[in-house]
Amino acid sequence: MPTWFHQVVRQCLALLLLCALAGVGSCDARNAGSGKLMLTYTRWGDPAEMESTRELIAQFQRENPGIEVRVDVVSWEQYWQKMKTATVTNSAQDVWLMSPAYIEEYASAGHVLDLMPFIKADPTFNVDDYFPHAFDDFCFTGEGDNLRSATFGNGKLYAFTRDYNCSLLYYNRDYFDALGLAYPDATWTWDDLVAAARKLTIDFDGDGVIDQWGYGGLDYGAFASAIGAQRMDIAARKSLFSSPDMLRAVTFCQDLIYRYKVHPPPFVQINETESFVTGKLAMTVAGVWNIRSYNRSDYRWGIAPIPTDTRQRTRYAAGGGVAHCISSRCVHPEEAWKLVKFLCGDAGQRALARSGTSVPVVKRIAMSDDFLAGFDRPPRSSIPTIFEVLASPPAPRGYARGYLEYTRRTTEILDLAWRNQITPTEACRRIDEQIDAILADQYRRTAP
Amino acid sequence: MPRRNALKEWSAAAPFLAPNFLGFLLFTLMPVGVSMVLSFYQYDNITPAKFVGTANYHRLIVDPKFWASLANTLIMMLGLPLTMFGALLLALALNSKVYGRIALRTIYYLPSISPLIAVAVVWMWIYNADQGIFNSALARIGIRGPNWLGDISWAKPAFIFMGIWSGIGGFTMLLYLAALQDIPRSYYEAAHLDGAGAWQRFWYITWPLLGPVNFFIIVMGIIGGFQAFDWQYVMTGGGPAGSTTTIGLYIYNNAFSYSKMGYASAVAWVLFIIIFALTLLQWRMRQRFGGAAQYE
Repeated sequence: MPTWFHQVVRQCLALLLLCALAGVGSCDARNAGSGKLMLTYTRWGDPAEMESTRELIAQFQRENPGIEVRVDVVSWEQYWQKMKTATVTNSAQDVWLMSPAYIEEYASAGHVLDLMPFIKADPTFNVDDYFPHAFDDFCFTGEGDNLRSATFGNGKLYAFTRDYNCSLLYYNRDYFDALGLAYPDATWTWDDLVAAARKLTIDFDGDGVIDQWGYGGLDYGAFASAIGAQRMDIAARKSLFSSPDMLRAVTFCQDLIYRYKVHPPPFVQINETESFVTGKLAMTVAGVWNIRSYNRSDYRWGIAPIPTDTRQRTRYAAGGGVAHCISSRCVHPEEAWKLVKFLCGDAGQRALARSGTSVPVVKRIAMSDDFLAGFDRPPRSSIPTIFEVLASPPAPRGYARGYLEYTRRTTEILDLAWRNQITPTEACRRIDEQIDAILADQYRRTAP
Repeated sequence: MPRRNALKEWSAAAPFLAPNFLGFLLFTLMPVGVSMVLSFYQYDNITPAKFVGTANYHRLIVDPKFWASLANTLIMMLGLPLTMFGALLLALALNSKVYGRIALRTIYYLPSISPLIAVAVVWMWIYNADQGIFNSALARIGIRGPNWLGDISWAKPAFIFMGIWSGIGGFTMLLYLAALQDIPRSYYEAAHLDGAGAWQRFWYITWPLLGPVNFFIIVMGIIGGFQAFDWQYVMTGGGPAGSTTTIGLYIYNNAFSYSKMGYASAVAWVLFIIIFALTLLQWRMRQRFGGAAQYE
């Protein structure tokens, strides 16, 4: 045998070995050598949440010595891309965090398990322990392309809700006190908001530049939800932005800038969260999860329900949260369910409550001292407001396939309205057109 | 015997070439092939791919977003002539005996070797409407500056300006410098003896001899411009109202945000055809000019 042949063989072997070594690192050892059963848990989150998650998982492992959980915390920006890749490449995670915006995609493709059998077999589960409607976003009947949303108990449940939040009106109490204005409350209408915001929009030094804005945050969705506007006919796959109530909410937001002049125009660069913390905004609309950020403020502040357009109007709330789901490829579904129950059960819920980032979905824990401990600046007396809002009838939802794309398109078009380049009517017309096209494309497969 | 030697040499070379070749095969050639195939499919990553023929390409023709991002990309290339002009000025200055020109060369080259993302983050602060250095400077002279990256009419110019800043002292300047240094000194001496002034020497000697390099820079600039992605992705995410969505960002969004792999592949192939055509043009012209080959 010539020497060059040996050389080639040797070099090829070396290369193979190299490849094998590189491969070992990425190989997923499902059953760790310790004889423990291995589960993976993936969620999105920031570094603070990563820390609390690791503590929580450590506790789970102490209570369940036979199970080892590998935790993976990914930033929100990369999360959905990662989960999609993991799903395609069959390396799907066992337990992972799910959002109502994306559940349909995964449920209709059969990538997540129905949790109802587990719940039915669990004698400790009592639906009354949870906020009403807390599970609705994750309940569906039918299968595949015929998947339709359902209410809890009338179908399958594809993810177990972890928290239940809503949007609120936040106001700077010091600013209201300084002008002797009455605090916002449940009786407020959009006119009351504008009247107060006008007084709170102030140019202190008279240089023509507003130093303090009465209101900030063009959250048309929050105003639309408060009046129960339906933004999408999900069954017909049609956008309803041009419906009177949706149009009213969009128009109100544009009016806040150009008609009432209480909201900074788009050429003023503001970050609503920071601006409220630093007192540049007297009022803003944001989710419950912003409480933690606002606690950094030097001002005293309070919370109120989102106002409605008229006093006669019933107030709705877009309560919603994220949930834990189990991949349908999970090899240890029983153990995965154990983990879900732990994360959404007492231990997980208390940890969530203490973090002050979210309202735990278990009412008892949401109303416990664990959650209240997160409040220092807002008066504790205003906390029941959150629960009153969460008890409101649920606002219609606008989740469908293609969520990211149509929400981005909507934002782009509304951006033009916020710049007063197009009328709200025109914006809503364009949004309807865009969303209808996206939905038609997304549900093309559905056509028989 | 020579045949066996060639084989022997090849066998020694192969393992060294293999990693690079495998990498190219695995991470470039294969994805390119797959994207070609995918461009004829509807594929969302979750459900199985469905063959749709040339539907993705038909759709692209009527997709206003595609044309808008193509237009955005072209508009953001408008800084190229200014970049070239500035780079030529710098090269001319550095080509003369300026004191400390080695240090200056390094300084001018810095933007090109700084990490793209770091540059983007710094410029986001420069353009910040409230605390940015631009608007602070403008405020000094009584002008209220716009919210550069948040304003539909100012976001594109902001990127063009950034492009000029980063392009002026980098590769383009070096190309000019090399071309200038290649021009035989004797031409200038002869012209000088004939009584040609500095302007005439530039206009009748330097400028014509820079022709090939000018063409090379323009074509490379346009090819680079079509691939614009990083800054827009980091600084505006394509906003406001989609006004800075480049074709590259549009492909990325469709593929990885909206999970329209098939459509994104179709757009990518159209982009490939555009760039390929430009490259062909560049090759053709290079054969005609002959000279510019040395700069590559």
